[in-house]
Amino acid sequence: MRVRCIANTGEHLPGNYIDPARGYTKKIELPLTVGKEYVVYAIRSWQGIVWYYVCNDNYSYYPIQTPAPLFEVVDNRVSKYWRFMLNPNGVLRFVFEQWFNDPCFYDKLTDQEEAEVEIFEKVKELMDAEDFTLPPLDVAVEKLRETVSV
Amino acid sequence: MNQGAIPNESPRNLPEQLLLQDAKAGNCISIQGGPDDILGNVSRLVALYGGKAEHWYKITSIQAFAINGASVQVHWFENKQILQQVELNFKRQYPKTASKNL
Repeated sequence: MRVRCIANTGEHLPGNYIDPARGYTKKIELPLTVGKEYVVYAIRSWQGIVWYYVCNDNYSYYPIQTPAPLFEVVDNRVSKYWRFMLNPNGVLRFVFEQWFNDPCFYDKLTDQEEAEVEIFEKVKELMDAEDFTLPPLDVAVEKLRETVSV
Repeated sequence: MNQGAIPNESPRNLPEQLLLQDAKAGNCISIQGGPDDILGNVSRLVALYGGKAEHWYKITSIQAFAINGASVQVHWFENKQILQQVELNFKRQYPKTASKNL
């Protein structure tokens, strides 16, 4: 999934995204370049608030949650590396496997623990190069039928 | 993960001091935390410093300075209810080819 930045300041955020506890005020300016495309490495959503985890212009080793309204979706195909999570409190996430399997993965990644940093480097490399091309429907189903009829 | 309190780290040089001042002046955002994204080690923070789990956030400077070959950010934990800031530390990410002892 890829998104294009359409704004990088708090002035462009809907009111429900203004959250001083998280640092999101009308005055905030984020290290994003308007017009630039970013790969989305994970998604979190709760109560109508959607966060994309992207490597912003200050990226060094971890993707960071960024309000979805600052972007437009330019490629809506989802990553094959994602797993879906719906927590009992209603938080919805799409995260890659290593994050899905370890509830503390992101804590450790942002703490700069070597193993998690290395994992994200690899996941990033794969997701950045992910090929979403699918054969046409007729070709795909024909190939499937050939496989299952053997 | 560490179970004890982690002391604040001091800036090593003037650029790190400036980065810290900029972040503490409000140029900072949450990486993680709050009711919808509870920190993995929040029970440690609550045990050590008090407060409720959903009030703790991990904060980062928005800026990342290039200092001595590293991309540097400053992180800390903050209880947003009482504005307590603890365990400040600098994250220095070196390019893979560069020495970490610069």
